[in-house]
Amino acid sequence: MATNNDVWAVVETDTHGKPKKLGLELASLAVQTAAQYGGQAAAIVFGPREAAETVGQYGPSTVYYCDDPAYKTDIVGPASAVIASLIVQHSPRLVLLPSTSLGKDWAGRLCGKLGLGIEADVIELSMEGGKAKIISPAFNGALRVTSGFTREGEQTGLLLVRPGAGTVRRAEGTSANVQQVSVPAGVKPGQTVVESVAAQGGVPDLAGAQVIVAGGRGLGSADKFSLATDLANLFGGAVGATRAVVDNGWIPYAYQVGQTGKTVRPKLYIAIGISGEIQHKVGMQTSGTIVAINKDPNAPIFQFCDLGVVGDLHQVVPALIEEIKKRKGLA
Amino acid sequence: MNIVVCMKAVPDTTADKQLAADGTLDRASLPVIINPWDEYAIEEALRIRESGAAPGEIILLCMGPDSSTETIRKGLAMGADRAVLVTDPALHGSDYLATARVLAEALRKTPFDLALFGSQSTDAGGGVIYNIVAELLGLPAITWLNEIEVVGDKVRGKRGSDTGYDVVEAPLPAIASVTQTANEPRYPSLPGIMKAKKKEIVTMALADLGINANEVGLAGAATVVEGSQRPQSARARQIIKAEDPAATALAIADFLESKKLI
Repeated sequence: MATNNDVWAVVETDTHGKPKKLGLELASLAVQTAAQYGGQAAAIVFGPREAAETVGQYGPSTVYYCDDPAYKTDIVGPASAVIASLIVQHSPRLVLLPSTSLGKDWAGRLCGKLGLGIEADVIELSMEGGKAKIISPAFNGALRVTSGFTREGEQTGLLLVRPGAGTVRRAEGTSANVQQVSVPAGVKPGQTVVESVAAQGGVPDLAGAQVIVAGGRGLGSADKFSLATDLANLFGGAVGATRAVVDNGWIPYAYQVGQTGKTVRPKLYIAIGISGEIQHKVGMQTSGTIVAINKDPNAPIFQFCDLGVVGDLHQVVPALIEEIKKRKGLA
Repeated sequence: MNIVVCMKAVPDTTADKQLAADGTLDRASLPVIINPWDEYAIEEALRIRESGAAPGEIILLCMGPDSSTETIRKGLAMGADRAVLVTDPALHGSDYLATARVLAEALRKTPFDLALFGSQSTDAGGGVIYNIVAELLGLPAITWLNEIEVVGDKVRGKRGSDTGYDVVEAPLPAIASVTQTANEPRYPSLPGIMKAKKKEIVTMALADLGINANEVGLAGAATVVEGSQRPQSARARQIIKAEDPAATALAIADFLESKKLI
């Protein structure tokens, strides 16, 4: 059962029905990789036709879309059945899925259904000797592992791709063939949503944030977390936190960066009052630029930052907020 | 009503890790801990039982080398009743599918109503195993749960969404995976540790599960590791001492501007 040379991207949409940025990154990466293989790129969009047309502007020759509401009530069963049936019909060489909780759920189901190999947490995809060369972190980022599929070309390979592995690139003068696909009959229940609840104040988009200001125990109290929030707002960024801060109840778990929280990779990570224990480090060490402010000169975070400020955050951060306001013409 | 918690021994977060020439990890030579995510799964299983919703046994299921026994004892000391360790030299180098097949076959031999997993591990970290297991067993799976409860013959939980959270639900038997919840996994008590020494750990090999050795391990893997490197930390580690807040703020802002970050 040989595959062809096509590379596909699976695209999630947001609550407004627009393709998520990671989905567009995957579509662009699929276009680029398919060209190297001499194959075609396609995308599977879960969302409305408009979202599929938007994805089409990034260069895939075919965009399948599924807007059957069934994929929203059962968030795993129908979507994975749609992807599986398209894979069986067309045998693409590689399928790129978002490395999100939902993308991982789908990939697991596809692997179980079709017996396919999965490469998870992919941060780089290139081609070497006609085969995919995949780089991903292992052991919480202590190692960078190079790997590939043993049966590439014989069976479809699934890749869970992290933000930043692909660059969003609009294609000129191409037009995609947009096709609606439906959920196959007789799908077994996967994961049924019985109620959706909107959080007060929304949910942080740590994965998509260009700037994250994270606070640790050094903030001292819950009300001081506003220092992190105010600084993050100046950059249009998000706030993050250490486990200690979450355990203290200063901020919800959704903001936690680290071993048992989120792994992030913003352009700028500002750590305030964070000592930088390994459990936190593994969640943020691949960030672009790391700035740390901590009063303890021996804090481990000073070993892996670009700029370290030894001092009292309660004096430095307010002064920094004022200085940045000035430079942005806000004060 | 029985709960099986699937757990894994992983290298200690602080241990120095290197891959062998075949791209696998020499697990036997490293200090290991319970995968931190799995501790939450064990804690949740104990809480579900303590809530009265699931009277019955709590069984730990682990695949790994013999050295995993030490970490299994910790789970038993927390309060699980007994454990199953699937261990076989042929499993060395197994990929996600092979691992899930082993767990699925072991689960078929261990009657359960709920199989709980940590949502990912700190070594490979894929976060895909429980959905593969669910698919192989034809069961629903509710995953990435921040809260979980058993209500009658259903398992229900809260899963983070783009706007807040979704309440997800599945009829039992089912698979579920948890994240770090608001509560701390308990430390084993001294009596708990003493009792754990006497608790049963049953060992199974591939033959007991009816799986062929050539379908698992390095031989059966759909993915192969070709090499590994330590990421180079090329960070400047420029350290400044904050004497005067305004002057320090100026220096930080200058630095950010030099990197085009303002």
